[in-house]
Amino acid sequence: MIFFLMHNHTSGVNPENWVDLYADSLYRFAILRINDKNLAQDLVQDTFLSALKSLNKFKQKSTVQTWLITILKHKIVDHYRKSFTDDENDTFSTSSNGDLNDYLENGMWNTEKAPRKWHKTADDIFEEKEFLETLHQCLSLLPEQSRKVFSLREIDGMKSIEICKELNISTSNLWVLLHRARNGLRKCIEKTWMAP
Amino acid sequence: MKKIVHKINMGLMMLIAMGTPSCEIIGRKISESFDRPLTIKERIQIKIHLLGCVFCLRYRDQLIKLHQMASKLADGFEQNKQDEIKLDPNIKLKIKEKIKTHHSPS
Repeated sequence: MIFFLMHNHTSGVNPENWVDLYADSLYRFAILRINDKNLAQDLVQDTFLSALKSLNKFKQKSTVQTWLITILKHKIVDHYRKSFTDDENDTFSTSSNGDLNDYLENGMWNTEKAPRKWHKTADDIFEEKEFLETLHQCLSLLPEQSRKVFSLREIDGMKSIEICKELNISTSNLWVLLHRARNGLRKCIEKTWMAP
Repeated sequence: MKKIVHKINMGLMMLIAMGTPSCEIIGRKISESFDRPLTIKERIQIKIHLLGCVFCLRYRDQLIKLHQMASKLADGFEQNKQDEIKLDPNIKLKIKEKIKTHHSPS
């Protein structure tokens, strides 16, 4: 036991230091993906406790922080899966973009709702610190299901097939939700950040 | 003369766009191109449609920008929010206590 504790301490994996070292970072990771402060806090706590239970499995192939983030990621996906079917405000419909007013009856753009010209590049936009807040807010305004799949696909770069498996949805449903999320975010950014 | 040529060009472009699936379908396929490989037929349809449809062209460019922004969001958020977003100190204490309890050799 003494050897175990010494080993933990000297290799920087002493769990009693985890909160000071990693709690804020884990919390920021969670709050970006979970629209609920209390839930994000709970997930961070669960992450530490799960890590503690499986401490003997930690092989030090990665850093402690990366390992903890991986555990938190799994917890977030678990939460998404459990709550996915309860998200009634975003059920799959025949309208793929979630806003019929964007298009006319013949499927051509409604010129009043059509995309406007953006004068800034993605890099220009990212130079402006407040933009992150805008993007985060726009993300939080999306319907739950769309927000979750967008987060997994575009922020975390998870493969479509993995998302479908984790959330138990078909690929066509995933594409509809992603299209809806992208269109919603595009419009939100245009309205709040690209207005002349 | 220039105006007439411009109008003819615009008309031709409109006709080209009308010969392809609607903007609604093209928009959906543009989004799907980020998630699955499109067929050759779909890619040609999009290319032809974009020749004559400025709105779908903007739509595609905006989705590309959005894709770039989203991939940078996590890192940018972590860096820029380091001083602003922190876990509640009381929650930290609570977690520390729990870790101590679970970790204490007994």
